[in-house]
Amino acid sequence: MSFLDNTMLISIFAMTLATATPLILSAIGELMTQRAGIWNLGVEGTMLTAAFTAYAVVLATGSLGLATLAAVAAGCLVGALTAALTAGLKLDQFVIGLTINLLASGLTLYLFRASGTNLDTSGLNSFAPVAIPGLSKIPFIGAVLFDQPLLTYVAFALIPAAWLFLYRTRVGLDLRVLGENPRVLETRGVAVMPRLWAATIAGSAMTGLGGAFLMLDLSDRFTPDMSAGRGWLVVVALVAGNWSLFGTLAAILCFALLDAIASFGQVLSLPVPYEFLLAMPYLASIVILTVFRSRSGQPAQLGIPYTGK
Amino acid sequence: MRIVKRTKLAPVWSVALYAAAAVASLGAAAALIAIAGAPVGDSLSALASGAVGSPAAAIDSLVKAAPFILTGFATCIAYRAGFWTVGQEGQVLAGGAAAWQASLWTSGLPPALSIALCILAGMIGGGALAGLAAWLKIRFAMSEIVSTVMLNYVVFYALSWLISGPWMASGDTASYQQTSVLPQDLWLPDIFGIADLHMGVILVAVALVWLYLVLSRAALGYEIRAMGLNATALSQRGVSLSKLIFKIMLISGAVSAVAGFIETFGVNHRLTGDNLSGLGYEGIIVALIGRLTPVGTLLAGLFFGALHNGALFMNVMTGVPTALVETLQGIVLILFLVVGVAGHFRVEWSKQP
Repeated sequence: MSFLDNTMLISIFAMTLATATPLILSAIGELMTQRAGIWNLGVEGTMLTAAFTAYAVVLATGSLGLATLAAVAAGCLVGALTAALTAGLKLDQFVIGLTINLLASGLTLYLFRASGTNLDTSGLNSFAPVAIPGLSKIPFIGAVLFDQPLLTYVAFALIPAAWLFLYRTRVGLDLRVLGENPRVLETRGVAVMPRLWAATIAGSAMTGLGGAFLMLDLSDRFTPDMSAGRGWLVVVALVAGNWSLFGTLAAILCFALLDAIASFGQVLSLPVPYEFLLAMPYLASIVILTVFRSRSGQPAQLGIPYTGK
Repeated sequence: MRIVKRTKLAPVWSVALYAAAAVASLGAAAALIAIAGAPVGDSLSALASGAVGSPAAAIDSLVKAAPFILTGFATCIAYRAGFWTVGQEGQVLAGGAAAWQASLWTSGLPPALSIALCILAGMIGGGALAGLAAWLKIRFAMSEIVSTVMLNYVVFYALSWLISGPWMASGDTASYQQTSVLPQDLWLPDIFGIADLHMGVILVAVALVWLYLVLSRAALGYEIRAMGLNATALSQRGVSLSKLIFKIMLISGAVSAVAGFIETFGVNHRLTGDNLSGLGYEGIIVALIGRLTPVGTLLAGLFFGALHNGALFMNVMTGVPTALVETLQGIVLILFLVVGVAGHFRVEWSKQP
């Protein structure tokens, strides 16, 4: 059997891209939020809320489009709450992030149990892969890269778009200045507060989109705390990537690969306990942080409440 | 109209604001119960009577509250020092697991000695895990938030492997995720023979007094508070910050671990993952609502312990999911934080200049 026919390898790499999708979407959003100086640690809770919303809507309507929209709206809502408490009331950003995670965990579990439909998930719709004509026929690469759900293409297409936005547009420059020295914007007559809100809500909307993918593609049912640390991995990826777009993405692809290997762990019959494979992304995150220790890209105002007008 | 910062808040206002937050929380509880389609009045009264409706219910509430009062104390110590650990969750698991392992090693010893060694082993387990986060902070400047959250997941999977593999109860299948039952002479005895009121509750009282004295009287308490306020100033006075971080984290981890120990030896009488998970996060919430003071944490812990216990009864009576309490904790904390800020502002009505 030649390397290119290795179906297991194809499955693992294709799975890596799928597992990476919610993380990439969320990380692009969180990068915007953190570059604006808001240290949003509620990513985990935001993603979970969005995933639950997607579950509830797809169960009620059967429409994947509506469910995705609703998940993004839920993300916006949690983002608005985060913005109100951090930018608006200037509460401690660590405490708020933690609180949002715990509230989301409790509320989604409560609503899930209260809905009483937890067993009837047989008919849940999920995203279908969209094979790109021609390209998907390329041996190996085609099956890995070009036979993915639509949102996976969107996530990867957003990477260069996010780079162009952050580093080649005026608004992107302003966003970065917001996290470094908001007084500069103030003296230019730019209203700082609305931009802080916008950065937080937009970031959470992206995490919401990630939550929709998590629910509608990576799982076939809602389970309590199904975000399972993915939101935290996004936060870690930003730190490990030193708040650069491509560094963050490299960390995410590493986590996603380990996650994909774990999901095929029982088929691969590796000589380690299955739980060890499941713990790999989290162990790897600690190892990565001991190696990539530069914090030079950390926004100067990260986590510090803006006290101007 | 403009908003002016207050310098000092009248106690009346403070009480009124917190009362308003309490009423809003009750309203949220009623709304959530209504969403679940259960009768609001009946559910709330079942919640109350399940919590404190009888002496037995009150004792169960106290026992329920004990572990997360402990993790709350662990939170107070670390957060007062400005050390934002989220590792209480993993330390509870590590403490329970280490104590369980010690129970195997010390079998044959007199029960009292064996139990004492199990507590010690649990504290070492929890302390070691917390110490790892402290080391990562000191050696690699790794944020304790990130390292402790990641370690929580690692410990969770490690425990899940242990109790569905090497430590699995004989005759069980892996899906049970539990060890066999502890020998009965290692179960924590009941205080005064009162059913279910195990000796672990006394450890909570000891921890309360100890924490109160340390934070208010001892040199360590001074250093903890000083580090939270101004770490740089403290280090310039010649205090080694890395040693202090280590000390604080070891203590915090050991206190969390005791929660895992008393749940395992006093309530479940075996090591299970399900019954230990969530205790660490509960402690963080309870400590934050209690404003990081020992007494505040105790009161918030007792209150939510009662709600957790009452929710079990409410679930039986009217079918409202017990996760109502976790949801309420989040809502109460947000409201308290908002009230804390709102209390420092007042609205001033004035004519346009």
